[in-house]
Amino acid sequence: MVTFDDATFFPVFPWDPQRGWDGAKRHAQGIESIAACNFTIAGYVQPEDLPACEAAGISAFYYDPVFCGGAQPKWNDLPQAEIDDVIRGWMANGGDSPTVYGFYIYDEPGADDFAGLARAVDAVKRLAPGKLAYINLFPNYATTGGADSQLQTETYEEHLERFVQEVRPQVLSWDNYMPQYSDDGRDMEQMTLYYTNLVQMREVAQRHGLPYWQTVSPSRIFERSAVPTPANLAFQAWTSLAAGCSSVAWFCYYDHGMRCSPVDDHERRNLTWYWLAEVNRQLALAGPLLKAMRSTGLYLTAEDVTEPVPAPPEPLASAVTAEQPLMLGTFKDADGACCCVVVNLSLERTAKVKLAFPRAVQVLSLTGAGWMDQAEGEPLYLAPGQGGVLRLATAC
Amino acid sequence: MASVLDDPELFPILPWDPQHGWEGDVQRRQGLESIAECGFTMAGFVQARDLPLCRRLGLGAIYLDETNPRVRAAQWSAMDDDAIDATVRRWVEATADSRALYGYYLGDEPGANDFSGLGRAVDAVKRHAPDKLAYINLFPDYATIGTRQLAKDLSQLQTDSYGEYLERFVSEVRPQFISWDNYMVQYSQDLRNIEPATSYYRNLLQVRDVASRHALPFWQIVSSNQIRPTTTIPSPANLLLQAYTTLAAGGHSVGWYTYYARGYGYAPIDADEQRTPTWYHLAEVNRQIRSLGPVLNRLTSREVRFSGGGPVPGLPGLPGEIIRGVECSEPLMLGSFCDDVGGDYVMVVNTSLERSAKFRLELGPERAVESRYCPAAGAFRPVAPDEARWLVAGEGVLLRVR
Repeated sequence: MVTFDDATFFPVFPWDPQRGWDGAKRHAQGIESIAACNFTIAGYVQPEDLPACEAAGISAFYYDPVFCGGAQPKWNDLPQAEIDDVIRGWMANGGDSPTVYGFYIYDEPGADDFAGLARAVDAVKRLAPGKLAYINLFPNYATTGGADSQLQTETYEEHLERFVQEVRPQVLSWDNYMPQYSDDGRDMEQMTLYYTNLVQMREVAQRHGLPYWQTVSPSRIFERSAVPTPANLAFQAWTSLAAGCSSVAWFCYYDHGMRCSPVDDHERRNLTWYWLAEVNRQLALAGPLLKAMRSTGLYLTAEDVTEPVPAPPEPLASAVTAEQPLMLGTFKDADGACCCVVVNLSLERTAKVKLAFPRAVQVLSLTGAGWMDQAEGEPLYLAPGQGGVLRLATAC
Repeated sequence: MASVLDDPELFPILPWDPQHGWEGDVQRRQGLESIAECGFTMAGFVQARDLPLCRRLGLGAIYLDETNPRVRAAQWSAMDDDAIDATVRRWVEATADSRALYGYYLGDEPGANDFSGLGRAVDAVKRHAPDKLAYINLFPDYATIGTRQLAKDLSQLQTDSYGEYLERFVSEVRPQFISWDNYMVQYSQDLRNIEPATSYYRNLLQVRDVASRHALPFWQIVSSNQIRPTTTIPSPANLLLQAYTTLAAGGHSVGWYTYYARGYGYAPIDADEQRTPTWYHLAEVNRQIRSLGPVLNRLTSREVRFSGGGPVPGLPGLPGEIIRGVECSEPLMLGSFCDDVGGDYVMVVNTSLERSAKFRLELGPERAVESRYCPAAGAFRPVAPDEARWLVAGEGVLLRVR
């Protein structure tokens, strides 16, 4: 049984209603395929899918197509008592299964939706302890302003603060597809929005003691955007890890007409599926380890992204260098030992990362063999978008 | 008796490794099962005791003499015909019952002075095991040349040119195929250094030309490790590029040097016998080749062209027989093929190791792209004729042209 507060479980899930928003769709590439692609949670499933999830050894987000009827159910229209009845009904209809990690509540609310969402979150906390009320927020490029805007606040920061204050969520989850929109980072203005969003969420979440989850994309998100590649899939996963995210979700697993998604419209595993399986395998190795630590810093060495992510301070700046831009995320474990996640931000070139720490460094082996000693003076090579985890014998 | 080379279902994907080391005494934790799981179709180079497991795993196998695992291309010249005959007969007897056996390892990277001995060894294999392969791998085109006394000790090819080396190999050894290795994708730092990058493509086209003229299949060995401490590491992009450029040129096999670390960094299996990220990336590339191989085995390579000035200077450009032009921001490699009922095919490879390529082909009159081969489905799937298609860095696609 995995509960929401399990520190060793790192959720990696497909951001998809398993049977469509209306609950009627059937996928040939079903739960077994999701487990084979190294996801740790299936989302969003119906009670009849739970045995398959259990058999495949993965958790699940519970979704009720009758009540929800889509991504944005009408919580605002219901008083607390009726919302309580909804949650009790879900629990009675399979939601209390140990396989259920949480309940799908809402996607991309405006601030006007917060009151109803607060009642839903409150009901889940009271009636389904250990389960998550899952709400996903807009990215920082959503429109701001009045009731007709997406955020329905004047700024993104106000949106996040009000969400935390009014909804009292268990996590901050958001989606950001700027790696695709920016044409694999070639439009740096758009790509900066990706980094900015990571920093904004990290700051708000840490201030309120909340985990933060990022949703990224393994699809060609729109007609003119970049296609998923081994490099940009690795980039999205590893930058999430470096920033201290406690989960990575992929929008989406099924194609929905977008092209190049892991499973195509003919229910075949696309090439993306196989590359994503490897990235998810790496997330499963590094994610739980980092989730158990505290994210203490996030830095970029890229000269063209001076805001909002700071350059690394000394001595870290001199200890980790490369010709390619790097993201450095520092962490401390319960004993005060330091780790540093290093990500090659270039989606084009392999980075030769020179390490010049005064004391020995270990590298997390992505074979699953644990920590391996890094010979003194030996660089760490990272393919485009790839990350690695260093364990340091010194402060960072 | 039909040769193993004539089996249209088997496209050799070979780990270029002695399975038990060159001394023959290494035991692997990541053994033949792991090789099969990584999408290889061949095991190389194995001992007789490995053959039953190869058979069970569906792997073809190249036999390496367990009594002399350090077999050298040069050794054959020192042997008389009877000794060669006895050696090959012993090998054939040791492996006689195996249906997994594909061929016999005779040596790696011979100089021209070794050709006469190798010719006699190849003849012996043809006599005693006419359906099997006599496996010899040649030097790349960046090996040292020279025949004069002064250069003799420094010359690897022992000829005055690489072209002469290939021609003499064909005429003196009478091989069943031409195999060579070229690691310039790594040496060129992912093709950023033009001179070594040029060697990669030049070597591929030069062997293709010689092999085509002599009606021989050709096999390329490329790299799946960090070939030198200062070179680039294997990445999804450079693994894809090495595989797909071999296929687009009409190559009949892809070999990966190496599967095991053997002192190399970032190999698929590390020194602790663990699967590295390279293993998983290679498994995906092998999965694609393995699916395409039997299709390509039934096609005949016709020509190779490059668009956009090519990835390096001096390569044949467009227009070609089938492709008149290309709309694409990245240089593409275009290998055209035909089947035996008049069908035309084009393999398109994104030769950029840095960027995804969106392309649209300009074909001759009354021609259109009809379908693309989908490795996941193992079948051609219809496409909209004018639709632009994407290839990630190094990736290729096989298109059927109407």
